Formats: sequence, structure tokens, C-alpha cells
Amino acid sequence: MENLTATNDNQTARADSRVGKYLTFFLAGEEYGVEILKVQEIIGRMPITPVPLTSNYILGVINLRGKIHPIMDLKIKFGMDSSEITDETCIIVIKTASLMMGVLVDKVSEVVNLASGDIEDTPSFGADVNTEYLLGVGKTGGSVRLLLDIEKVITASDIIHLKKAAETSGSEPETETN
Amino acid sequence: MNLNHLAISLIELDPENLSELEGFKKNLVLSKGQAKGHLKDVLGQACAEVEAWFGQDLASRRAGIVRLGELLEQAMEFNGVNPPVVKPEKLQAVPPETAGSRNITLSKDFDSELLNEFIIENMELATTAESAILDLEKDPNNQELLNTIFRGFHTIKGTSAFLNLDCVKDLAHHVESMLVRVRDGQDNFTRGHADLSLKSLDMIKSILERMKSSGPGGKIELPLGHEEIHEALRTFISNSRKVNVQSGEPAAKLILKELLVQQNEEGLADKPLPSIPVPEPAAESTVRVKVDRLDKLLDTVGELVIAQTMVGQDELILDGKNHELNKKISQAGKIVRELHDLSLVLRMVPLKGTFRKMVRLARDLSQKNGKMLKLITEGDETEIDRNMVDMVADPLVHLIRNAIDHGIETPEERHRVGKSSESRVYITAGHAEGSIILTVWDDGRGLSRQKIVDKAMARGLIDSAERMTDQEVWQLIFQPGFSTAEKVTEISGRGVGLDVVRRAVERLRGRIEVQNSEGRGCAFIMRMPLTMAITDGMVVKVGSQRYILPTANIQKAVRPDESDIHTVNQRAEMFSFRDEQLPVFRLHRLFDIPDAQTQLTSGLLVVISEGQQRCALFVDDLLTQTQVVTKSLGHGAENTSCVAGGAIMGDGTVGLILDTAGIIELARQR
Repeated sequence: MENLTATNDNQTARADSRVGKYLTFFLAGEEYGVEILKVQEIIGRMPITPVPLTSNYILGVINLRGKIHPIMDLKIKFGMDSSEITDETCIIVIKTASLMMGVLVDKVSEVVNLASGDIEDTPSFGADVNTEYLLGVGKTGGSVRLLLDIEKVITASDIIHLKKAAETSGSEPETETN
Repeated sequence: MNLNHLAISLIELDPENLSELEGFKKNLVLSKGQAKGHLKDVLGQACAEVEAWFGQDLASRRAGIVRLGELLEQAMEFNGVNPPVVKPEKLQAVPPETAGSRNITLSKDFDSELLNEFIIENMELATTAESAILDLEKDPNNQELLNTIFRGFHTIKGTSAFLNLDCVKDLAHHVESMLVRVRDGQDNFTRGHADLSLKSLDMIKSILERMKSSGPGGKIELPLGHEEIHEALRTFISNSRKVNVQSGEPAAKLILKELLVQQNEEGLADKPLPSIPVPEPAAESTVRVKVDRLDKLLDTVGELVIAQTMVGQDELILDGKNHELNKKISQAGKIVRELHDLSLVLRMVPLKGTFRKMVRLARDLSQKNGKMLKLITEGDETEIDRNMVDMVADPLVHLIRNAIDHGIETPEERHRVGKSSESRVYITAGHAEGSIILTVWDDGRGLSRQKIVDKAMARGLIDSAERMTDQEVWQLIFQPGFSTAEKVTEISGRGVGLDVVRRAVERLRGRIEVQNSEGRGCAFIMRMPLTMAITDGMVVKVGSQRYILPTANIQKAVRPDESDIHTVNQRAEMFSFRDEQLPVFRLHRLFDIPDAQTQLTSGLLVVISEGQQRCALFVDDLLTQTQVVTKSLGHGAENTSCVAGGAIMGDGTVGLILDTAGIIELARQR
């Protein structure tokens, strides 16, 4: 009985850190969320200068008020189907203490306030989908949003590659540590 | 308080400050109490004189100070007949244990801002003191310089005591006690004084450096040799004291006399007495600004220039219908350009600091080598980009070491060939043709063509030197591992120096040349751009992409003829350029650009060079010349070896600046 309450407390504590406002956006029909405190601004599409010999998900660089920012295509990073570029395609500029990066998304949706009850842990999908870069799943108003740990997404050298490494090594290290 | 101290405090006395006068009187009375015989009478007279001051006006007080000076002088003469009683000064009473601990911990109570302020301030003080010491060595009687040094150490002592930094405080304190004797005229300023003070400054600086990295609450290990310096200082002080007791010459009276004469003259002109050392008038007042704020300002101004250009090139403006608007916009444009020029100047700092370090280096090295040397600097007010200051220092250090170690002969040798025994090394700086020119010049033995050729042939660098010009021969010394020095010394001769110099200069996008006159000296001339922030480049087009090639790396751009191009194994291509076969690298292939020109004869070959390597880079076309500000591409895009950085182009998009070394490297790998 004591054990059970302890784990419950643990969960609420973890959920608490995830509570807050999220900016949600669409990638190939799926809705994702990113902590609003890490969003600097949303800008429309602008001419991107491709940088040769970089990873394929780095689309290039843009000039934002005199500063150069790299732009990442999240769909290529996640290994998803690419879709047409439309009028709604835009760039979310992420700013954290250590990095500045624009991410290209299909459409920006809304800002939602998620309470701890609205957030669930990410279910495990086995080796197929790497869930390490997901904070959890947000459920409000009948829609499901995948909450991204955007820093992990940006800094992980290659998410698809990570998945492959996990597959080849046979056992998933994170299941053991959990 | 002995008489010397009384005399000094008299000189420093401010006749307007009553409490200071009171203090002086007390000391005088005390001295009187200890004195005997005639001395007591003289001091008694002096006391009466002082007593009268308090009821007098300023002018008569000044006259009184002069009279008192004369009295003290008399007193000292008596004192000179009797062996002086050297009282143990309280300055010396520093328990040796304070320097004993090898680790110190910074208190957590200081916030990091305070600590930073302290470090910056003391670093500056140390630098000022250092340069004053070097000057004083040349001009040992300059009281003002001595005072500058004194102020430096005194302030360092004061502020470090406030922060409970005993190790720094004690060091500064010892040096002060050593210099007190110089100031009081008991000692002459000798090389020993200079050495010890400089070493102590080095120690203080390195402690400060360590503090900078550890922050508040951090632990600092004292640098090696810390205790040795303390010990050396203590021995030095006690030795010089012994010597002086024997000679018994109260030299302070000479200085006192001099100053009193000065005071007599100045007193009439209704000037304040030189009571406290007057800080030299600051020629320019400055404001300290954080670097990131400055950078942000420069960024913003750069952006403003681009925005202004975009407005000026707007169709609505260009169609010529809005004459009034045009005028206003060009007016705004002028202001923006002016602002831009101003903002670039903000980054510039004079080379003075760097040159000061060189003077110090030359002094230490020539001493170590037993060579007599005068280092002369010229043009130290020349300004360069602050980012370049440190990068310039490295090659200068190497060149000066080389000059002193290899270039300059020993005094005997110089005497034999009929040169003056004191050799000269010049460092000069100046502007020419939009670049900075730095020269290191010595009047030593110069380079020997024969020696260099022999060495190069022995190392297999060349087969024969018959057809080589002198300039080509001199370029050989910049090869890695090349040294003609017969022996490896502590300072140089391992053959790394000049290679490093050349690379450092190239990193600054500069060139180095040699001018030599065998037997009479050798000059190294470095030319580099004024600022690293701005790159001169050519915009090249490859398919729909545009890239910037640094002009410094471009030798020539040619539209090749069919006959100049040869294929190798049907895969690689070669281009004949001035009797040389250069490999052709196609930029569109390296970068995977689909819509580019593939016919070599329809595009352009740009001959690029990087150090000794050259190649021909195939592009579609050369568009224009440009000057751009180099910026980092940011996380994720910056790790490309072929791209040196990005730049905001006139139309607001980002242009990529190519790194020629990276491109040659990449092409070789394929």
C-alpha cells in the first residue's frame, strides 16, 4: 500500500513538470505540442539558403533580423512522409538556453493549457518508434497531442538512426533502466 | 617614524587638510621625544613652526612647509653624522606563515559581479604598473613613474585585503616595502627591483586568472613559485636594508631638496603643492561596455543597413516618380552608412597593450641570452579589431624570439663586426592600402641564403637553388620544421616558430614577407586586413545557388579553352595554369547541385590557393564583388568543413562563405 502511494506521488511529481502552456502544430496530419516557453516566435516561410553537406533534415539557414538560424524539417527528422508546402506552412523559432533553431511545420494550431490530469505518459511502441523525445501525450477537447521534448529532438544527432541502433542491439536499454 | 619618513610625509602634506596637519604634528612631536642633543633642538623648532600653522592662512602655511623642509634637512644632516638608528619598520612585520598555504578558498559571500569587477580592475592596475616598471628601468629617476607603480601595488593591496585575499595582499605588500626604500631614496632602482616587481606582478596576474575561472566559493591552487617569490622579496628587502645601514647615507634628503626647490617655485604661482601624486590627466574618457551588448549593437546596425538598402531598391522608389521621397530616403541612407562606419570603429582597440607585452618579453629574453638590446616600438596607437589583438600577439612573440635568439649577435660578436654593442629591434605598426602592416625588424646578422639553401637541400625540400630568387629562398624558412639555428635553445630553434607565424598570419587573412640584408639585419613584414569581421569576397553562381569565395584565396578566374583541359582516366580533370597542372574540382558535384552548368568551357574555373595547395574550382559564373560580415550558422549547420560561415546578403537572404581549405580537403577525399 505504501509502495503504491509512493509511485503515485512520483507520477504526479513528474506530471507537474510537464504542466503548462503548449503551442500545438501539425506534421502530416498528426498534432504535436511544444512548451510555449521554448518558443521565441512563429514566422512565415522565407527563402532558405541550403547548406551543403549537412544532414538531410537541415533545410538550410535563414536570416532573422541579422542573426542566422538553421532550419530543421521535423518530418524528415522523424522519418515521416513529406507533404506539400502550403500557405499554412511556417517556421517555429525555438530558443533555449543553449540553442536557437527554426523548425518547419505544416500548420500552427493553437495554444493549450494542459493540467496534470490532461497529460499521460507515452505508451511504449517497442523498437519501431523511439519515444525518448516525447514528454507525454496531452488530451484535451477530444484531441490527442504528442508533446515533444524539443531540445532532445534537436540535439539528437539522428532519431531514425537511434532507432536502428536500438533494433540491432536487440534489447532496449531504456526498458531495463525503467 | 624616522626622519626620512617625516620628510616624505611632509612632501605629501596637503596644507588645506587640517586633520592631516594634525597627524603630521603628532609624528613630529614623537620624533622630537626620541631625539637627542642638537637634533632635539632642531625638531623643537620644527614643532613650534607646525604649531603656528593652525592659526595661519594657506599661503603662509605653504611657506611654513618649505621652512620646515629646510629644518628637517638640517636635522638629517646631524643624523648623518651619527649612524642612523634604523627602526624596524612595521611594513616588514609580515609573518612568513601567511604565505604558507598552497590553497585558498574564495568566500561565497562575494557575488560574482563584485569578484569580476575586482579581477578586471586589478588586472588593469597590474598592467599599468608593469609598463611603468619597464619605463622606470630606462628612466630610473622619474618620480612620477615610481608613484604610478606604487599606486598600482597599493590599490591591489587595498582591494585584495578587502576580499581577504592574503596571498595577493602580502605579495603586493612586500613589493611595496621594497619600493618604499627606492621612493625614500635609500635604494636606487635596480634591475633586481624590476625583476622582482615584474615577477610578483606575473604571480598576481596568474592568481587573478585562476580566480576568474573558479568564481565565488571556489578553491584556488596557488601557482607554482608563489612562495619562492615571497622568499626572494623578503631576502631582497633585508639585504638591501643591511647594505644601507652600513653606508648610512640618507639619500632621501637629496630628493627632499629637489622637491623643496620645486615647491618654492610652484608655491609662488599659487598652485597646489604636489601633495599627493597627481594621477596623470586621462586623455580620453572611456566607458566600459559588455562585449555582447556591443555585438548586439553591431548586428542591429548591420541589419539596418540591409533594411535601408532594401527600401532604396524597392520598385516604388526606383520608378522615379516620387522625387521628394527619393531625396528623403537617400538622406536616411547617408545617416545609416555613417552609423555603420561608426559602429565598425567601436570594435577597434589600439595595439599599445600588445606592444607593451612585447617590450616585457624582449627585456626578459635579452637578459636571459646575455644580449644587449633596445626594443623600439612605433605606431602603437594603430587600432585593430579587438578580436584580432590576441591573434596578432602570437606571431609577434615568435618573431621577437627569433630575432633575439638567432638574429642578434652577442655583444662581442657585434663588436668584432664593427656594430654598436647594443642591438636594436623595432616593432612598428601602421596602415597602408586598407590593411594593417606590422613589422619586426632587427639589426642582427640577417638571414644567410647559403645556410637556408643548404638546409633545404639536406631536408630534400629543393634540388637546386640556382633558379630561385631571394624571395623564394626566404619563403623556405616558413616550412614546418625548418630551422637554421645550430643549437636548440630554451627559447627557440626547434624549427616550429616561423611555420606557426605563417599560419597565424594566414588565419588573419594576411601575408608575410621577408626583407633581408645579410650581416645587417632582417625584417619580417606582415600585412593583414583591418578587421576579421568583414570578408572581402566574390559571389559565384552554381546552378541556383550563390556562394561567397574569399578574395584572399582567389588567384585568378578564367574561362578555360578546350586545349587547357585534360582528363585523367576519364574521371579526373586537370587544368593547365601557368605551366602547372591543377586538379579541377567541380563545385556542383561536391555539393550535389542539380541545375548547374556541366560544360567546363561554358563555365568559369577559379584558381584558389590555400597555403601551398592550389586547385581550379569549377563554377557557373562570377557575379559580383562583395564585403560581408561573417556569422556563425548556428547549431546543426555549422559543422560543415566546406563552409566558413554565413553572411547576410544585400537582399536579406543568407549567403554562404566557402572555406577553401575545407573544399580542397573534401575534393581530395573523393
